[in-house]
This record gives sequence, C-alpha cells and structure tokens, in this order.
Amino acid sequence: MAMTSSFFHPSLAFIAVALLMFPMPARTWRWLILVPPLIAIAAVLNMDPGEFWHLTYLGVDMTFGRVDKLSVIFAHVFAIQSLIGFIFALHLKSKYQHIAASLYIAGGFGCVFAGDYLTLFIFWELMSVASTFLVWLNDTPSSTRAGFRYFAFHTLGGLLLLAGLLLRFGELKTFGFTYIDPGTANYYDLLILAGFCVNAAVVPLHAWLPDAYPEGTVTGSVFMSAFTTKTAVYVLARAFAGWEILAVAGVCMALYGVFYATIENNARRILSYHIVSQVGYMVAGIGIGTVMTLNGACAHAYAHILYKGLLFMSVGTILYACGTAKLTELGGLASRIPWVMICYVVAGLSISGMPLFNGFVSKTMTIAGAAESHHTWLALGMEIAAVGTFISVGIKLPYFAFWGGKPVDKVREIRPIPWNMYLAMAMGASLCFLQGIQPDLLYSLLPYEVMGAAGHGVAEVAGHAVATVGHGAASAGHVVAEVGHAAATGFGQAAPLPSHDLGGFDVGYEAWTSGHFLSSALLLGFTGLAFYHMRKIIPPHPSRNLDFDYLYRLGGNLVKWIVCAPLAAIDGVWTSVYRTVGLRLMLVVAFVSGLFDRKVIDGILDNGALGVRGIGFVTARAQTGRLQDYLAFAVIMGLCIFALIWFMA
Amino acid sequence: MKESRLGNWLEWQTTKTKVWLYLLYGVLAALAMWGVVYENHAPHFSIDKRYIFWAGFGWVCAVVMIFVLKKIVFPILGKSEDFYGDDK
Repeated sequence: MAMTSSFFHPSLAFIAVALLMFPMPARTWRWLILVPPLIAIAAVLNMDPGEFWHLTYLGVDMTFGRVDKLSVIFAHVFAIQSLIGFIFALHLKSKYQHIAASLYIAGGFGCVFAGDYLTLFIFWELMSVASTFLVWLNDTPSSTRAGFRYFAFHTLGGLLLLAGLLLRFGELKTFGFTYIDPGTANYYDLLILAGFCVNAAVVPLHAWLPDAYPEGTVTGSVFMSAFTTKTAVYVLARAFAGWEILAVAGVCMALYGVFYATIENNARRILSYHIVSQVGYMVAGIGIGTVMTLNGACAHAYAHILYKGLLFMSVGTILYACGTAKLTELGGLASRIPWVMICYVVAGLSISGMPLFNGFVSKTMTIAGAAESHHTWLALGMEIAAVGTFISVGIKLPYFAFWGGKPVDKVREIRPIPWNMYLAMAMGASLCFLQGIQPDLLYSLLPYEVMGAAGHGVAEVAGHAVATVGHGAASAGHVVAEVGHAAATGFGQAAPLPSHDLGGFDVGYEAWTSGHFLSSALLLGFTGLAFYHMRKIIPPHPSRNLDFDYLYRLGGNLVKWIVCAPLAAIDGVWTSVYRTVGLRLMLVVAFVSGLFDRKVIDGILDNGALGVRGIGFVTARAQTGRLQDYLAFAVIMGLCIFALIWFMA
Repeated sequence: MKESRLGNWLEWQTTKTKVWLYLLYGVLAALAMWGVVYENHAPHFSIDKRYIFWAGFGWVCAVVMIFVLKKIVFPILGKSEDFYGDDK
C-alpha cells in the first residue's frame, strides 16, 4: 500500500479508536472519542488532490483515497459533524454506541474517498451494519424490530449494488467508480443506481428511513441523519449527474416528505420525513445536472448535515429530558428548556430556507439553478416543498412541542440536560447562522467550476482543459489532472466534472440579493400567516400513518407465509401419518416390549431368583453333615462325569 | 441562572400574544409593500414579475396543503399508534 504525506484516511482513525475502546476503562475512552474527529478535520484541511493508498487484493486494484473537490466537501462536513455528534454523545456510559458510531463514520469517509466500486462496497456495507447497531442499541422491542427491517432493506440495497458492480466488472473488466453517461448506460448501471437510491431514500425505496430513524438512540440518530443519505447523494453526484429520472424523483421526494411530515405526530419521524424531502432537493439538483444545480446539491448536502444534525439533537434532547417525542404529549415547554427551543428554532429556520440561515444560501441555489435551466415545473415543485417544510418543521413542530396553546408545563419532571449536549447544539446553531450570513464559507468549498461567460450554472462548451494542480505535491511532481468541463445545460449533455483544484472559485451565484431575500421572506412569511389561519385544523393526532413500509411489512409477512405454509402442510400430513400409523406401530412395539419385559426379562429375573433360592435350598439341604451322604454325592458326581466323558467320546 | 431568566421572559411573553401578532402583521405588510413595488427583472414564471407573487403563492399553497392533508389524506392514511402491533 502506497502512502504519501499529503493524504491520511480519516476512516483509519475512527476504526482504530473503535477497536481500542473495547478493552479500555470508561474514564479513558470517554475522551478518546473526540480524537478521530479532530484527526479527520486536520486530515481534510491538509489534503492534496490526487489518488492515494492503492492496494492490490486478489488481483483487483483498489483505491482508498481519491481526493478531488467533490470528495473533499463531503469529507469536510462529515469531519465537522462527527465532532459535533461525539460532543453531543460525550455523556454516554455505553461505549458500544461510540464504537458503532465510529465504525459508521469510518464507513462514510471510506465511501467518499473510494476510487473504485469494490472499495465503495466494503465501506457501504460497514455503514449498513454499524448503523443497524445504532438502532438496536436503543434497546427497546420496537427498536429491535425496526433494526431488523432496516438491516434487511439495506442488505437488499447492498445486494443490488453488488450485483451491478460485479456484472459491470464482467462486462467492462473494471471496478472504476466514474461518471456514467445516461445515453450509454447498461442494465448493470441501473442496478448500481437502484442500490444507491435505497440509501438516498428515493421514494418508494425510502420507507426504511422514517421507520428506523425514530427508533435509534438519541445520539445515534444524530449521526444517522448525517451520513447514510448524504453518502448516497455523493455517489449519485459522482456517477449519475444529469440523469433525468433523478430530477423528477428528487422533486417527488421533496414533496412526498413534507406531505407526510405535515400529518405526522412523532417529532423524530417528522424530521425523518424531512430528510427524505431535503435529500429530494439534492437528488433533483444532481438529476438536472447543471453546474449550478450540482453545486446547489452539494451546498445543500453540507447545510443539511449541519441543520438536520441540530434538529435531531434538539428533538433528541426533548426526548432525553421529557421521555417522549410525540407532539400530542408535549407543549408548554418553551420556558422550561428555552435554550433547546432557541437551538431548535435556528435549525427550523435553516431547513426552511429563511434568510440569515444556511438553508437560504443552499436551497435557493438549487431552485434558481432549476429555474434558470428552464426546468420550471421542477423549480415550482421545490418551491411548494419549501412551503411544506416551513409549515411542518419550521412552525408546527416547535409550536406544538414548546407552546401548543398550553400553559407553561410546570408539573412535568425534566431530566437535567448535560452540558455537552448544549455545547454540541450551540456549535451546530453557530455554524448554521455563520454560513447564512457569510455564504462564501460554504461556496468556497463547492466542487463545480463555472466555465465560460454564461454564469449562473449554464456553462458554455469549454471542451476539455488540462490543468496542472496539486499545490503542495511538489516532491511528487505535479499532478496533472483532466478537469473536464463539458457543457452543462441540462439533460442530454455530458455532466460537468468536479474540480481537482481544491481552492475556492466563483460559483456564479449570489445568495444575498434583494430579489432572493424578498422572495424567500414573502414566501415563508405568508406561509406562517396561513399556518395561523389554519391553526384549528393542523393540530397533531396520535397516529401512525400508512406508508410504503406497510407494503414491505406485507411483503415480509408474505415471504414468511410462503416459507411457513408448506412446512405447516408437511407438518399436518406428518401428524396424521404419525397418528394413524406411527402411533399404532408404537403401541404394537410397546405391547411387544411389555410382553418381552414380562415374559422374558421378568421370567429370567424371576426364575433366576427362584433358581438361586432353589439352589440355596438344595445346597442347604445337601449340607447334612453326614459323611455317607457326601460320599454318595461324590460317587454320583463321579458317575455323571464318567457318563459324560463316555457319551462325548 | 441565565436559563431561568430567559425562561421567565418567555413565560412573560405568553401574556403578550397580541403584541407579537401585530408585530407579525406589521412585518408582513412592510414586506408585501416592498414586494408590490419591487420589480423582478428576470422572472422565472410569467406571473412573478412582482415579488408579491411569492406571498400569494406561499399563503395559497400552505392553506391548500394543510386542508387537503389534514382533512382528506390523514383520515385515509392515519391509523392507531399500535397499528402494527409492535411500534409505540
């Protein structure tokens, strides 16, 4: 394995600490969990572009470290969110949650830096297994069942990916993880796409998410909200940019998620549906495939990880402190846990795209990109989803959790909230706000460079340029990378490729314009007014809404029936056979055995006893004490022996 | 303690809902006036030449969405919490 000083794989730190924690005492590992995120942040900030850590295994070339601007932006936010997440979880006494989270994050980094499908698959499955434990470790009957369903569904997704990459290898003799042109795509590419879509929670493959995430541990769901779906967004951006089906699917996701969130009661399930919805924006941006929408998708993934983590932390804190996350059982808590409320509101405004917060600088970019590339209906669908987002997670959830028209709840016993949970929430809220007022913090990380004079994501044909990149790689010589910037005006043309230069550049979009501010403020402000007008209709009800998980539970029961029914039939026939033949045969055997016991065994034993008694009696009688009797007995015996010898001879 | 001070202030504000409501109306009215006079020079749709369009769009979408989802969709999809028998 070749190593260079310019690349250190963050997964290594997470895996090492996960393994070290097994034998360690509690006082040591508690602080050790902060080390891998810090190493990851340092590693990401000091990376150079290129390909590192090659390994040949069973004749297959594997690349563990492909570094370009697309992988770096995801690794950047993964590193920051892993630090926030572990600070949030610092009070935990169970080391196993930290081990599962460390391995899960290691899987996320592994996928982001994977240069080939085989490496990707290994880390993909590591994420799947480790995250299942984050559900199981909640240690309730419902989390156990949800964990099994989650694992079964992800195994299905993993198998689709495996089938696709193996069939692709059989055809192309390569595991290369590169862009796939929709015009020349084959059936194995579709299998890979389906595998990615499972993890991206593309409707109707999404139901595992709102099923499992509300059942995860308080801290585990914070991690899960960040890594699984965003890793899927990364791989879709890497391989499937500009696929029209993704553009439509993304907008469907954006709408579907907010529709369900609007009628949901469990706060963590509302947030889960909003992951589906917000990932929908990213998938749509990738599907449209212009420079601006791809940058918008990446920006939104970054912002989403921060505000969604903050949402799950705030709601997780409510669950931790109050023992429930159901809106019907909450209310009147604003003055009891005011800082939790403030952190939640920051996150809620961020996800809604309110000016001053990071959702505003990322969401508007994707929507503007869609509109400017003439995907008007898709842009309109995303605007409707923005309205639904503000209704359900921006207003409904905090209103019914913290106020709900109820008086201050002074009766409820609130469990003391550890300082580390507050610190993590404050970090998340600060970053959401900072990126909102200073968009360049985010835009400088965006991976797709606008080429030509068109700007605003509609790039002119620039052909292929060969650029020399790789600052800091002087000892290894210059890394010559092909920075392909093909035309990016929508479907039917080659998608833009991510930049190999890790420095910032103009992304051709300005978030803080009067127009963007005014349209966002009016849209959200009057949505809020509508909520006030409809406040009598929208209160939550204790319920469980039917979703596609009903179908896969039905499917599971069908499979169970298919397996069980023939076995039950065979068992029934066997019972009849046994009753009619086997039972009678056994009765006969029992009768014969009884007879044998009575007549043979008992006879031998009884007669043996009688014989012993008779012999004893005869022997006793024979002991007369008279010499003549003994002599007569000796003569008789002697005659008998003689007769026997004579007869035998 | 800061938290309880903030909590007390928030509790006090619950007695001033009218003030907050009028404040919201005031802000929305100001934004609406700005939206009426400020012209969008690069409209994406034919009817968004004035930014006030987004106020109507947001209000109408929100009202329709809440009504349809809560009054039509929810009665169909909503089941009891223990519908599956294992999830509370």
